[in-house]
Amino acid sequence: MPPQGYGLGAKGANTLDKFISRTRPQHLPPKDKTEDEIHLHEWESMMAKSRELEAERRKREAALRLEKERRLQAVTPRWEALLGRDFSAQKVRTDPILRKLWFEGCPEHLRGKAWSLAIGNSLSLHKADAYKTYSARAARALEQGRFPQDILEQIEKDLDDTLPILHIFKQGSPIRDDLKELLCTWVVYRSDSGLGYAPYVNLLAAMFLLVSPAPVAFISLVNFLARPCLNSFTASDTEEIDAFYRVFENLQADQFPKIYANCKNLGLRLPESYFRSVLVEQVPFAAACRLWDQIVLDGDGYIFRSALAIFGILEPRLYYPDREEILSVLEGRNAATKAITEREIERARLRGEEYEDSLDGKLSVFGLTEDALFDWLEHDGWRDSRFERLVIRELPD
Amino acid sequence: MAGPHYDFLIKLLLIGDSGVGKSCLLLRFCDDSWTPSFITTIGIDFKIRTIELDGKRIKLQIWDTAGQERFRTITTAYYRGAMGILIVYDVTDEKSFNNVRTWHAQIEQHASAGVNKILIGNKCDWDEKRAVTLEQGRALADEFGLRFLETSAKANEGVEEAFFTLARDIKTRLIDSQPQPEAPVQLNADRGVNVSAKQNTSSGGCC
Repeated sequence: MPPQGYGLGAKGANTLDKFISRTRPQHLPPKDKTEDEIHLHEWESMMAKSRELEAERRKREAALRLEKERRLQAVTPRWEALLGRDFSAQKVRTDPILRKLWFEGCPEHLRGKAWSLAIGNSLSLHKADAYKTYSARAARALEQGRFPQDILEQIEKDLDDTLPILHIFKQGSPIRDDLKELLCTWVVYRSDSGLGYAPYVNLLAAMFLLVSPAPVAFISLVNFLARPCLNSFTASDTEEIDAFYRVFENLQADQFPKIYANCKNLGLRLPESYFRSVLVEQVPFAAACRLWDQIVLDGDGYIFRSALAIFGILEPRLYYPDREEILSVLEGRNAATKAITEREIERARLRGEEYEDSLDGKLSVFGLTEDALFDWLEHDGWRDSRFERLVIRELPD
Repeated sequence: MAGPHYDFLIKLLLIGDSGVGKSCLLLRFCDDSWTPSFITTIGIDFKIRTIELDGKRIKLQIWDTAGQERFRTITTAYYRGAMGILIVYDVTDEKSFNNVRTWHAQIEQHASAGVNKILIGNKCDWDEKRAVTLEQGRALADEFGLRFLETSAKANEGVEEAFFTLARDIKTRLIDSQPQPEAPVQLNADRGVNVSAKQNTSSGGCC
């Protein structure tokens, strides 16, 4: 069978093509014709095999997705009961059976309710009026041109970068307008305490807005950001941020002493975006949702725990003694990996398949999938008490 | 942006399998055009058309969803605040008709109670390839208590009627039936029209 496709075949070629080898670089002496043919055949069958495997992988993934949907459907009544009148986050945290249910992920249509209940409202914002009041103030400020122009520009820029994989916050989308309103409202709310906008808040606000209507999303967002670690980051309190980094590095040194030493030698620390975006930027969207199920329930500790899990998955790539290399891995912009991703996109495009040009989670290219992450978290040996002790030690007040 | 030129805003949602012609229906209704090319909607698309019903200007904000949704969490966002839903199948594709049940179940789970619905059998001009009869469509619609119409985006049959029927039902349910004194509601120019405040939304109902 003559080889076909990708312009590698000798079929219908001109006379020159009959003599030059396509299976060896031009500057090397050509292979003899029979060997050339054999290799072309082998190449063909390898490609076919790889396409087969790819198709199988997709089928397996689709089956798993279906299976997961069925499982979520089956546990929905239990979730409904759990999120009923006498919901207690403390009870879920301590009851192993409820904890397991929660760990396996919340049914999509109940996620908004679950997050809002788990976060609670310790700031006692008025459930019905808070959003109305602040968003009206924001609207007035915008109308009268009193809204800080630089923040507004930053918000517009951030909207373009908000979960592009979902294609739901793109220009012209009503949900984009809702997110903009939510962000402006948050800025007005913060201005009362003399604080401004903060990087990555667009991602956090987007997460809440996807699962809840704006007034509920606002209350969840504000209370979520009032938790100690996130509060330090959004207020850019460098002393506290450093203290939280010391907590993280202690945990890192316990679990991954060599990586810790390497990072230390290179003068590197975890990119702030891990904390500021609460890992939304790093992991695939579906994994982020499930991760947030845990984070809203458990608090700051779970962000540290998840970041450590990410280290566990990235581990083999973190020993190299080069600052830029490690940083490019942690920030998900490693040149070699990017080249592979781009090649795959190009191949999909050539095959006429659907392809996605934005990445679903910056670190997904390193095999950081929902399954890998949650398999790790299930057996990570995390101890809350250790985290709490460290926090008390590093942040005495 | 120009000032609002409408009295009410209604959010509609198009759902159904990939390839049944949701985007074509939308394109026909909003831009009165048709394209034979098959471009899959990624994520979501929106179009606006303002219509007049009983002397009121009604702005229809129509959300066109992708048939195969990778990200289930965002379905919640699609359905939130939707006042009417068009469930579309392809009369030449039996599978898309059978899947109407799945779509209907999804509505039950995500949409607010009482949302207006209509079942649409699209591509009805394509007689030689028809796989689902008009009677089958009607029977399913009756079973679920849905309105039903066959349409052809290509031949421009039934498209206007489908959207107008749904819009009229919604107007009757939400606008005409508002108790007048209590509700000069934000039914006016506001973008975040709160017409659905009266319903028990499934997610906002806590506390």
